Amino acid sequence: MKGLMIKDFLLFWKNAKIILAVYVIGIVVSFFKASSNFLTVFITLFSIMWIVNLFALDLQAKWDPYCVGLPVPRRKIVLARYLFFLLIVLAGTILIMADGIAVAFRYGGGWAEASQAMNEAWIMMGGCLIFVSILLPFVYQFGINKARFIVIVVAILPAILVSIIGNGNSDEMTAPYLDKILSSLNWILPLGGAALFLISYAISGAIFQKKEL
Amino acid sequence: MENMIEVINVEKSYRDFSLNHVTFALPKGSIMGFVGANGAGKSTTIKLILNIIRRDSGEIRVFGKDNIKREQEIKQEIGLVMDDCSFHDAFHAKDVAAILNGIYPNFERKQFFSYLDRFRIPVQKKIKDYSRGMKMKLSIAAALSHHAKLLIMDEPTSGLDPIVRSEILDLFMDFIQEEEHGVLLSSHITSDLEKICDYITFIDNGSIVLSEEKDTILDHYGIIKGGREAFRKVDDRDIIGKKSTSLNCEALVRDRMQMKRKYPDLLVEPAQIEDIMVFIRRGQEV
Repeated sequence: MKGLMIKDFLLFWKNAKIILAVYVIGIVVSFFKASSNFLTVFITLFSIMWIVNLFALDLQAKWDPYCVGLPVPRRKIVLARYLFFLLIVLAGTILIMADGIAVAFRYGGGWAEASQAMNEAWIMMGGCLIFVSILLPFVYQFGINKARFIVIVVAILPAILVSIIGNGNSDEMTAPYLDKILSSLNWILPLGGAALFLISYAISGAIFQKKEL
Repeated sequence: MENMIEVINVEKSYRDFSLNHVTFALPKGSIMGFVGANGAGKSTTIKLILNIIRRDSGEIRVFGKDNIKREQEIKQEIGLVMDDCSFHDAFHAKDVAAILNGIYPNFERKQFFSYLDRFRIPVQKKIKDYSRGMKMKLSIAAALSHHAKLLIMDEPTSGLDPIVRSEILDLFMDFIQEEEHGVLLSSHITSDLEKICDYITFIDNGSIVLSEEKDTILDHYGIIKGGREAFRKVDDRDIIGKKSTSLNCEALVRDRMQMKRKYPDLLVEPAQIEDIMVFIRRGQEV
């Protein structure tokens, strides 16, 4: 399994120059605009895009049939991919937190703003985990080409949800509950994301175990 | 003789293709050529041996162990080469070494690079800049660098020029000098197989048509040739496959010495592996 994670890391590293350049731009922009929003959006999109890209690169190289022929159990092949994604998201979360704290102190926001930036980073991490947890079983079941459409569907669903919540917000009965939910997102999303991530791994593992390549 | 691979009555069905009661064995210390036309079932059989796809029924043993129950243990000792280089274009040879080092506990980095050196593979180049021959040699170097006892290769020489093919075949001959080793090599380049194989297994349309020692095949099989008129007296039961023009006929027979005695008027010649492949295919079509 170590070899598979090294493979994913090497693929990441080979493409890292452009990615790191955008990270640097994100950090510079966050300092000029006194906000980490750009960096947060970029890292979120990048983390999801990169995991999809890894499957596409494997498909292009015809890696999967070879990989299953190696002495690595199928569940560990899936586990390596999930762990690698977790590492990318964790690294992104730490980067957003560090950037948020630095911006908060640079502009005199102190710990209050720093803690808000950290909350945003947790929310980003939770959102990423939920998105990818839904996506990956589809990728293992249908292959990356068909699952690209699922990416679009999974991306649109939260937008619809937010829009429904936004409309519901005007309702006086539901507003207090919605406010409570929204203010609890900083722990609901990471915890929900982590739980869903484990369930997703179990489902993907079961799918890949039976998959014929 | 102890077998490295035993495939016993294996079946696998798809909507438009099936493997039917596939049975053959690769004895220790030998090279088996797995021959067949495109789509005959060579890759499917290899994938079944490696448990990349699941058999519907039958039994597969590698090193005497069930290939599903003892899968990981078995795969530690198999060197695998697929019909395409499975390493990503962006990688260099040192990346391949790093990956395989994390997969095979016995991987020998030094040995891997010595093979690359012997093959004159430019290690500073990315894989995307390699020729097909270089990619195949890289795959073979990878398969040979973790003390594998058994090499399983799906079309490793297809699309390669004769010089590269000859180098690769020499390498297999070196590998097999160790009597604990074995090679299963699928190909439809029959001349390569005739050079190096001890056994030939021929698969056609999902069924094993023959699986015998190469020398036995070449010693016994023959082609009888003659005019259409002279051919009329040939018993259909003696013929495995036949082709004819408006004037002449040719047919593959299993025992050429017997046929020589039985049909003294007809010309009987030894058959090559390629003849056998072509005639068996034609025999089925007729």
